[in-house]
Amino acid sequence: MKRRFMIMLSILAMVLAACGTTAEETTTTTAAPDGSTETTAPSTDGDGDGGAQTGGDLLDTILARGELNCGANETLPGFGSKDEAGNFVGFDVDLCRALAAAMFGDADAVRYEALTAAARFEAVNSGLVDILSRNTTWTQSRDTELGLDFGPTTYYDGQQMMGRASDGFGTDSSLADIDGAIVCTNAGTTTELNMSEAAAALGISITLNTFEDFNIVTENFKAGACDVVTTDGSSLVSRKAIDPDGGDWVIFPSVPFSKEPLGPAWAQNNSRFGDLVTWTVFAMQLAEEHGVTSANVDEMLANPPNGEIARLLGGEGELQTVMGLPADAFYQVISQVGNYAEIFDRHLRPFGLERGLNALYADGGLQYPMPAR
Amino acid sequence: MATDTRISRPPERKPPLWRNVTVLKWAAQLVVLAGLIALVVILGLQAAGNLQAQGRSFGWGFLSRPAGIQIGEGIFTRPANGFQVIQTGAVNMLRITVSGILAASVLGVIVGVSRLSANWLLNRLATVYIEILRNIPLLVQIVFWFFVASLTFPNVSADQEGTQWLVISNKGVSIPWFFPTETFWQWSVFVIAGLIAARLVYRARIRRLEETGADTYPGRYAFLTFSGVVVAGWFLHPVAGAVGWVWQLLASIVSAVPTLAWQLALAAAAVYLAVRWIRRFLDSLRSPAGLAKLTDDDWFRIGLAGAVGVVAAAALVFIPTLTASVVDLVDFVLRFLDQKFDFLRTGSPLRFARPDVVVPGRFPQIGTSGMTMTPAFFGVWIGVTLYTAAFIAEVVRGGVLAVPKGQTEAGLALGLRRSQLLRMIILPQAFRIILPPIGNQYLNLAKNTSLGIAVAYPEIVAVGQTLANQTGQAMQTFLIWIVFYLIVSLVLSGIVNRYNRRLALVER
Amino acid sequence: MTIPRVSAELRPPEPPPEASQLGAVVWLRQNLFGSVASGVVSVVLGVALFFMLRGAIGFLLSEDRLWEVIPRNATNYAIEGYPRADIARIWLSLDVILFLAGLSMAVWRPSGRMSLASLAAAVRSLGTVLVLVGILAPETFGSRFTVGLVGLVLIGLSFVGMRLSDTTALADRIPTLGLIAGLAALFLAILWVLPIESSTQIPYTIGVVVALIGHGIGRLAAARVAPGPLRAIVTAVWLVSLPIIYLHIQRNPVVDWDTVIGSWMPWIIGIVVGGLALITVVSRSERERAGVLNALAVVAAIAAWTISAPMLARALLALLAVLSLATPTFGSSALGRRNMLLTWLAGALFASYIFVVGDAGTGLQTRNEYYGGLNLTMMLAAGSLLLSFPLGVLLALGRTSTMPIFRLLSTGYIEVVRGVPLITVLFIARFGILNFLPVNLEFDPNVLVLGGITAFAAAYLAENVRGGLQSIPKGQYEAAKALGMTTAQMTMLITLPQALRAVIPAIVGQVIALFKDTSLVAIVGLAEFFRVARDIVPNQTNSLGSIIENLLFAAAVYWIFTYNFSRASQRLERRLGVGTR
Repeated sequence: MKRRFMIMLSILAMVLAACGTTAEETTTTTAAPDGSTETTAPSTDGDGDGGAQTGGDLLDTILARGELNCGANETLPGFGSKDEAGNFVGFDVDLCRALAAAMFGDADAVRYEALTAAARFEAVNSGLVDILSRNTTWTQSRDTELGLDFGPTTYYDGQQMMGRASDGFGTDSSLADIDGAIVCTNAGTTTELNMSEAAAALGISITLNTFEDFNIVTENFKAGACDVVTTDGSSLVSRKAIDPDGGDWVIFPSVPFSKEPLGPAWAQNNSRFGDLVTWTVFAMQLAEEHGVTSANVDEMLANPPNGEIARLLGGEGELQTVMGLPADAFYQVISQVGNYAEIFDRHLRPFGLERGLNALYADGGLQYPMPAR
Repeated sequence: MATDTRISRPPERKPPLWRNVTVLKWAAQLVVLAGLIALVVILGLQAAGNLQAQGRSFGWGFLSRPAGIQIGEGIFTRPANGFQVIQTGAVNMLRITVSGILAASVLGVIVGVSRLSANWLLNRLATVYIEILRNIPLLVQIVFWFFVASLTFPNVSADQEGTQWLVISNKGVSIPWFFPTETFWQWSVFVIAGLIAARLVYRARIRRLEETGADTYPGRYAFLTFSGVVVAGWFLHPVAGAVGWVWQLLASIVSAVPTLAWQLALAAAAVYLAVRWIRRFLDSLRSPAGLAKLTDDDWFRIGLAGAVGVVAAAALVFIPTLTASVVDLVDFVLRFLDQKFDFLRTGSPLRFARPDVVVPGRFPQIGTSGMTMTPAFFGVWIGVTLYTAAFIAEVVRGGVLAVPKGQTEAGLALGLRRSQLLRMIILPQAFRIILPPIGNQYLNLAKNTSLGIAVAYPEIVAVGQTLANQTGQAMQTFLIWIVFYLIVSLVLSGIVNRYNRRLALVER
Repeated sequence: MTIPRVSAELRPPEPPPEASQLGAVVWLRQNLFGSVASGVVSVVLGVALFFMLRGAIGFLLSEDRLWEVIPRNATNYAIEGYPRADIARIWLSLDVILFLAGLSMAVWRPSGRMSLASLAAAVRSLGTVLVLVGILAPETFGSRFTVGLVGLVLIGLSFVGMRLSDTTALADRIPTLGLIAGLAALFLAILWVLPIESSTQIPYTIGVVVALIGHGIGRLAAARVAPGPLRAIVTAVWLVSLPIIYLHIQRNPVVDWDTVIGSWMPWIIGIVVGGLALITVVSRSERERAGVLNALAVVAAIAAWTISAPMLARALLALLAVLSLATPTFGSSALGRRNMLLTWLAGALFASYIFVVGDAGTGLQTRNEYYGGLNLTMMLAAGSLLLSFPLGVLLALGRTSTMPIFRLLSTGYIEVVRGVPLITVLFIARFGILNFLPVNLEFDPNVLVLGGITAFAAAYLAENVRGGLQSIPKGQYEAAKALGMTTAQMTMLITLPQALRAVIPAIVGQVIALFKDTSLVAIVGLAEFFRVARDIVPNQTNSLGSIIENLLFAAAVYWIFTYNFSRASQRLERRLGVGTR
């Protein structure tokens, strides 16, 4: 009988060992790396010894890891989707690329995580992704109760409706005209909440159907299962532009009935990482303001026209190194990813989106980068 | 061979502690248990630390705070708080589970029997049905049916406005239905009474048949009794309003008895149940030769049962809110029932209603009059029904084939027709074999309704996911899911086991 | 005088009654119009079937369908985000599997045969389907006459085949292998002859050749090695090849040899040599000393976690502790000792390989979450099966154990996991578990989800194994006890092997369910096969509106895999003769 108990003992030893690892990871985090290779790959066997890094800011964790975990959208062409080669592309995706370029000098040092609207906040809170760059609206409760911090708004959007001209909708239609309709939108988004609130305020009765993916919403709209769809104006414009049936569709009301400031978000209390995100966005906008593009950035670096560009591109001053980044961080951003106007034109203009509110302040828009000094 | 029958025993020498089997066994078990508990504690502390670092908190307040979400269908489409969100999801899940189980059972038996049919076409079709449906992941099927319903069904048109018999559209499928009215509860007393009466009559007729051997048509008699009582109840149901007094009386008794008495009574019941369990357990170990020697395992079971009983009793005595909530629940149920009964209430207990199409704004919609399935409900329901039916069909076929061939031959020799043979000889025997696996299929169906999340059907996983996303309280949602599904599984397997036991008793 | 009750000579058996060949009318009367009810059913079903088929075929072949989306995304479906530049690695993985498949064919089924008649029947069914499609297809489908004609030709061929199978001149049993080789040749011919614009001609040809080579090697080996050990070796190669494919071939590991040699090698060599010595000594010691040595091994394994040792060293020490604990039971004879030492060497080697390669970085060009598509589906199914097997067996042993706390824990785990749906387990694995771990502990989401499926599958597997354990006659236990076996020996040598053998069909059923269940990981956002069909492809700008086509394609692919799997499991069940022994 004794052997059996010995086997049981061994099982016990393994259980204890399992406890040991957890305890060890939490208490001896500052111990020297135990000879394991610090690599950039996602490890596939779940070994725990690679991740023991100094606790503290997310930025240190990411720098030590060597790549950025980016929560992206794969179902919103223009902002985030996958091409036929399986790569993520889009406006929001380029922000992650810019961050990676700033931190590592390599815009491809990103591991993307496709997130649905409903799953995105759990992914940030559980540490699955470092940053959420998937058309997320900045709201009070998300900023406070959900434990997130938001960066500068990269795209000012607003919620609108889309109906069929054949149903009598025109660009001058108002929200009151959708009384009695089946309205469809994405699940787990602010648009869902805005719509119920707007309907309640107007005293109209609607049925709100939600789907995980805006493509399914559009398919249902095309089939007639949804009378009206609602979401951020940008999505509506892009769908209308690329869909063969788009000619019959009308977007209304002309002034959006909600504010949807879309921007990056990350787990709160990581202020150094937050600084990085904020200033990367500003750097891209400053570059646009001063006419620095990926094409002429080398020339600009060689003989900067003014001090701000020089500081931004790392030619003089220590603004970037103080943040814990290489001095040429933003030079890399501009040269590998481009300035704000470039990524806008690359991803959003093909879908018929105009700068509008997202023009720089000098052109009458809301994008106002803070000075680099 | 006249040897000494007494074997000279070596003196009882206990092995040293480190080689004592029992001691080692328990040491190993306790150490593993301690290790597991330590693991849980460490993980819990880590989670608490993580939450604190992120400035979040763990609590159940989100259940009572406004949720601010709207749900596509269900009892609360604009839930006032998190709890109502969960409630709506739970009820939606149960709707699919119950209707799916009924539909899948009927379809499964039909397909299963068809697979044994002598008709080549029927037989082949059943086989193809089973082989296709069983081998495609249910998730794919649900998503497929959802898209079939929402993308390929016709639009509702304004010409359809008015009452219809059937509306099939991409906004939903609506059928005529009998809806219970406010007198339904009174009538249901008669339905239950009818069932009891039918059972009594059936037994009496069977006894008669066994005594005299004459054909007493027990089935027909029972059916007539049942219909008689139910039809009489249709007109006489206000009489059942008297039942309301009974509920009222019970409710007043419940609230009159002081909580302390309830506490003591429930505690006594807990102890009694534990004692009864232990006695039964000991009885099961008792053989004609006397009580078998108890192993340490047996002692553990007895100890555990006793400990559970004592802890439950102590909890009931020392935590008054526990008892109070039970009493409140009973009181609530009684008062709820009381409201449903009234002498003055008349009218038919069921209301027949046909679906309608209305045009409230500029869009034609399915009205509220008929029984309407949304595309999401349709997708999940038809998906789980067809899928489970394929498995049930295989179970039924196996059960029928397991009935000895002699039974068929004997039945045929008695001159029974094939349909009679199936109904009277084979299915009753097969039923006993197929019930346990069918019970498993019911459990699977209940769990598979969770795939509704893929088509945004607001069942408990989907609404929990939305709620967690809006409030950031994912861990609590996970707990709610686990507890809910465990309760559903326990109830379902409890029902199936009960029938199983009753059928097994018939076996000779 | 006795009346002989048995005739002296055997009478020749009567020939079996002629199969009635009275033609279609009799067949119809027997099978479709046997009774009035049956006739009504046939007519109603026939009419309904006609309209359903016409509707379905009309839908599938309608001009509105965007079937061209699927060939365009073939690579996406197969591997999704895997770097296209490294696609040769995927082919290499496939080649390894094809090689092993060919090898296994030769080892397990060297002389499978198939009757010409059943082949002809299959061809006839195919032809009938094509003819039906040709007849029922919508007018807009241009090639419906071609399809119908091909169907007619196939039916004609099948009749020729039937005739040939009747005449004994031609052997009526054709080797299955020949048939498969013929089909592969046909496939290659189509690939090379037809003007298919495809870059897959060469890789597929290599695949077929590799499978043939594997088969040839298998033949050679089968002629020289006894079947028992050969099968064991091939099984072991299969098991080892799966992690190698995923860790080595598909990840392109960049091993940091400096670290491995500098800081790991001393540990590995030390532990391996020490382990050899320990096992030898333990197997030669008598009980007390062996116990002390084993206790020391356990303490060392635990102590490794408190010092800063490489994870590999900890794993090796744990493995060593387990093996050394098993040594007094299984390694006391000379043969047992040899086996124990070999197990230790092989185990240590394999563990070292896994750790060295698994910990290495990847040299792949993109750092996307690169596993995806059917490749990820297969990985999840195979991985969770391999991992859940030991866990499931442990749980089953725990649940049938006489030790109450183990039984309680196992039972609780099994019942809770079986009581909740897989999707909740996946949500918890993907989003819940990380909340309980230190923030800086990194986990690949694929690994988290794999863990979730494994935890789920283990509970179901445990119930199957428990069924097997309980089906073993009590006499087996008593006999083992009577032979003086310890509980461990009894379990490992007597009861568990029989139990596992008895539940093989149930386990195969479990594998099929597992394969289907992998589609659920799409809901938690892994880019496996179903997610490609539901979310990724229909969202491409030039594939909008193709969701039903994609879903049907996904359903067909799943069906092909699952159906063949379940057919194979039925054959296996017959071969094992479970229930007839």
